[in-house]
Amino acid sequence: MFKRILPHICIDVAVIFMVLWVIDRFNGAMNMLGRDVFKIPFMIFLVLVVIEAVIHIVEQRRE
Amino acid sequence: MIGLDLLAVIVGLNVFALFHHVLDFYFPKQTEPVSLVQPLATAEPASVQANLRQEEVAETPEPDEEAPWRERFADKFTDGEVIRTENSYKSANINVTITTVEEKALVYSVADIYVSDVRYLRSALGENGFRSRGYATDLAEANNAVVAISGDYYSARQEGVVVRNGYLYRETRYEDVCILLRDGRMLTITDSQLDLDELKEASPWQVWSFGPRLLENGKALTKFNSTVERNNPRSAIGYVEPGHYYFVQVDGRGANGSRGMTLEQLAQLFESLGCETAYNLDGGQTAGIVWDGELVSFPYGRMISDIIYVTDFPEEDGEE
Repeated sequence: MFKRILPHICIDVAVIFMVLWVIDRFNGAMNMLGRDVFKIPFMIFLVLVVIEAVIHIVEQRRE
Repeated sequence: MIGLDLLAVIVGLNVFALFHHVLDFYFPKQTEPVSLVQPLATAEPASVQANLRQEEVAETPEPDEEAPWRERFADKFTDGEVIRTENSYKSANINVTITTVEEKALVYSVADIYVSDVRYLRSALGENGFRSRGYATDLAEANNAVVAISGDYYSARQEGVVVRNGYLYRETRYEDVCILLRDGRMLTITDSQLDLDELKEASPWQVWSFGPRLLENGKALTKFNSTVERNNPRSAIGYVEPGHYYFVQVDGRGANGSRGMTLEQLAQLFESLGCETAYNLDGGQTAGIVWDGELVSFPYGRMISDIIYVTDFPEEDGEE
């Protein structure tokens, strides 16, 4: 189950961060990317991406 | 499955907005204020200040004999009585006149302010101090403000110098900076011109960090250090000479039939008012001006982190 939804979580969170990046470009004063409310989820996202990548590599080797 | 992904993105953005705008106290970065006059002094708790204000407000303002601009603006102040009209307030130490202008697709308010001493032009944070927030009307009422305008919303960022009523709360760089010195001069400088050590040595009365600056030697700038130059709700502060200032608040985004001002329009307005320097504060839904306890501007309903205000009852914190 986790292996199935993990790629979706990664895509969804990546899209969210892209939207925030665009907003930040238009109005830097809102400081979308500079606060802990962004940095903490971003760190979690990076961990999830690493897990997803490791799973993908392991499965590739099995094939 | 794509539909679920889209839904997850939308929910995720809303959750982010909730924690970024509303529940931001879950990600605090507390800072103890440092007095620029007496290093390491701490400001009195807000509740103590509120009690002092209640006692003071019952008294009639006395002329401040040592006020530096009393003679220069003698005709602007009274001998002790308070003269209020619908759009003006005149006392021994302050003189404020507010005008709301309605033009084609544009509504804005201009407060013309004279103070006998810079202590009467103040900033206020939320009820619980640094990083707390409140509604502009509540902040104005709690501080006995005659007129108040929304400030730079410093708590939305972790960068930017914050000095309020002589206390240094934060000393990180951001963009253009507005410095109100204790001698009443107001300077607007770029980040590259800012020397933090020099700034602290100057012991400023207020420092706001938002911007951009709007004038250069009294002339409207045409290029601004900002990506939000289009029509918007605005709030801004202008300086004519020590003791004479302007607050300007502009409704926008269709509120009250006003589309807002571009930065260029705002700069030209301050030039036409005869200002030497002027500085844009946080606009959008933050922008608001309170007169006599009531919001004159469109009520966007946002809680804000600070106001700039004029009062007849200044407190003693951070003063020399």
